[in-house]
Amino acid sequence: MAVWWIAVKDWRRFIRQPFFMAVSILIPLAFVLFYSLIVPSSQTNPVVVAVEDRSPAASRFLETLRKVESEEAPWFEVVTDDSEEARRLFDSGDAIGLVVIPEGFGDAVAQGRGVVELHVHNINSDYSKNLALRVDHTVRVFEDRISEPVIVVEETTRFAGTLTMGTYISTSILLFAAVYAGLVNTGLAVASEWSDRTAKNLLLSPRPRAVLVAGKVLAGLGQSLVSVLAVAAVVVVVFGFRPQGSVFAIAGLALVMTILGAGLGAIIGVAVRKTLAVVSIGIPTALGIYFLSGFEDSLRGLAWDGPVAVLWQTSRFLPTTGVFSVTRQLALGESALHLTGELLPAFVLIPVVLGVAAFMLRRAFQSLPGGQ
Amino acid sequence: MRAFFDRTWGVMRKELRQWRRDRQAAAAPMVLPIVLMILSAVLFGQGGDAWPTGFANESSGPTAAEFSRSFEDAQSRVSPYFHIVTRDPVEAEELVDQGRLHMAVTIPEDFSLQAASGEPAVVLLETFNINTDVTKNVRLRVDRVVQEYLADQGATSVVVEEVPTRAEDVSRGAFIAGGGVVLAILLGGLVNTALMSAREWERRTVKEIRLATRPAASVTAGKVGAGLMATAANVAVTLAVAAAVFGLRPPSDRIGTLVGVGSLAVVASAGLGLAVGTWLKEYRTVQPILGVVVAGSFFASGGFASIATMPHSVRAFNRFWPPSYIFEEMQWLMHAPSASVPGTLWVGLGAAAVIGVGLGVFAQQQANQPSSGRSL
Repeated sequence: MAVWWIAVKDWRRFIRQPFFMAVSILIPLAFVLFYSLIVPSSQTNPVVVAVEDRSPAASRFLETLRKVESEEAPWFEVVTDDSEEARRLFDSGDAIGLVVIPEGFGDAVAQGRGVVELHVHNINSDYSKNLALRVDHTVRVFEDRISEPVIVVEETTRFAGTLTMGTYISTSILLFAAVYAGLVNTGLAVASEWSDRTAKNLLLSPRPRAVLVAGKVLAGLGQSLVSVLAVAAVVVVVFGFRPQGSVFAIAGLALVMTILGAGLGAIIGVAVRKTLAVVSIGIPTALGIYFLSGFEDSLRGLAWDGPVAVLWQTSRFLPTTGVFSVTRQLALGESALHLTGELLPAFVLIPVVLGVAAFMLRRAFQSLPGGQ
Repeated sequence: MRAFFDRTWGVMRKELRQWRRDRQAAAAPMVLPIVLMILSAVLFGQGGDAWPTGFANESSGPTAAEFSRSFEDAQSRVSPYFHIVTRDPVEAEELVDQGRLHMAVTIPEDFSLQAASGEPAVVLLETFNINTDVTKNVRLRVDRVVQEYLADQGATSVVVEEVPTRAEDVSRGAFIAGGGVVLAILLGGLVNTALMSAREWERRTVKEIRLATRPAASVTAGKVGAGLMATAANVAVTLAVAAAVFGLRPPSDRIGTLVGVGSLAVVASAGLGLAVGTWLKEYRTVQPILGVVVAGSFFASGGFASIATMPHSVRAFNRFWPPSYIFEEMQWLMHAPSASVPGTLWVGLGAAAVIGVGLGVFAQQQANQPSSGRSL
């Protein structure tokens, strides 16, 4: 029962202090918000179009430009097709890409000599490349509509369906929220006893030290539930996250990451004993796990040389990487049974981390400096 | 007047000394831009344009040989489109299956025969379709090769003529590095000054400050001045990393304009930081909140990608979000082929600086009221 009341005390503090609420809930939500801005920008490229030809071919090309799309979104957002406005926006830098369908385009296409101009402010090679590839694709679709294709690409995919970026990111964000919440909430619950100078009161209670440790972990897990549920609700609404596999299995893996985070948080909290330091270390640690483990399966195919290879090799050694990978396979609807081996490092790490946290907490609670 | 400057100089020296000693607080506004710069460039740049690929030509005819050449020679203005890792189709298939390659392309045995007989010639593509972004990059590259090959053969009725406004493309890393420098300017101004203000409450020294004779103007000016100097140090380090690692090279004739825009931006953010630090009074609240807001602006408001390339809702939001004007204008000055700052922006930046410092003064005066003395 004492474990429960220690947790209740920390939950009360969590509710009463805006700082705890802000750090625990708002920061992961802000993170989701940023991604909700970045993800669509990789799907659809805004472009202005100067249509300077009134032929049916020009109209068909413009229509093709508007209609070409990937599995999840159109390739282009045509901001304007008014020639004057398009050129004005491009010249002022308010548009980075300008597609010109020049006068005489229809006649030129009929003679097999049509030209589409792609003007680009090439201040970011990634966007310039994307735009060029997409306009090429548009031309190809346009050509295929007016004549028989000369070359056909037959594709075989590894997975039955391709994860949309929303779903792909959602699994990583969910696990990030879990590890972040466990880490920061438990870390703050522990460090607050020193920051608020209440550690002595806690130690004077006639309870075994193990009860204090368990109470702190329970408090951290309870607070984390709020953060993780808030993030889960947002990824469902904002990214349309709809896992095809077992939701319970995914929730279980989120719990695994929360417990791991709670253990790490307790270690950091007792090591630094300052709330700001817990936040300063906790945020980069959780982000580091997210960036390294959360993208391993898309980095894997690119990691043949350079910094990206170093990053990938690092991610392979992290025990958390397997959890991210299995969660994503579950989201794809794949059976996770053959993947349980990937979870082994995380399952081994959890008792180790919790053991170290318990040892450090017990030792810290044995004696306090005079100031406490 | 001399007394004012003496007091202000005294406050500045005290603040800078404390800033130097508090390593965690001093490092935070510098570490975040550098870490974001490196992570964004490596993760989202994903190794550049050359996509690791398995490629095999199993057809012996001349058409297949020409298509094969088109594939191997395909390149953007920055680098080749493909980095061929293996030419063994069996190994390529295994690598794709394991996700070690995102794509493998095979020109099958009967490719040339099909082309010669006027049938559509088939190219085989295997993909590790882990997400739509990766798969999009793979498919569009193959499309590009097909299109270029057909254009070379005169078999297309439309070709694309690219007209870049710069002679050389700015790499994505350099663009992100430019955003990182602007992030250092805004974050440094805000966080350094906010912490200098909150420190008086954290260390319970606010009473001594208030008991000084006529402290308000000197304390405000001293803290803002010290915040500017600390930010200059943060920006210098970030700029050095941006130049050395990512090749950021702003045109020399625009350095003066960049310094002018950056200075007004840092004064505005330092004034605002002073207000935030005075209102929130705690390191642990100030640092995460400001960090998240400014890092979010880096991604959403022109640090990571131009606003013009972002979705409609984000473009609309940025019309009302002041940091977006600073990110956009400074990125444009650093990278565009020609650039000049419109008069309205100078006026806007000047107004932002006045409002920022005004808020800082207001917050300091408010804090000097007797009712706010909980930490005295």
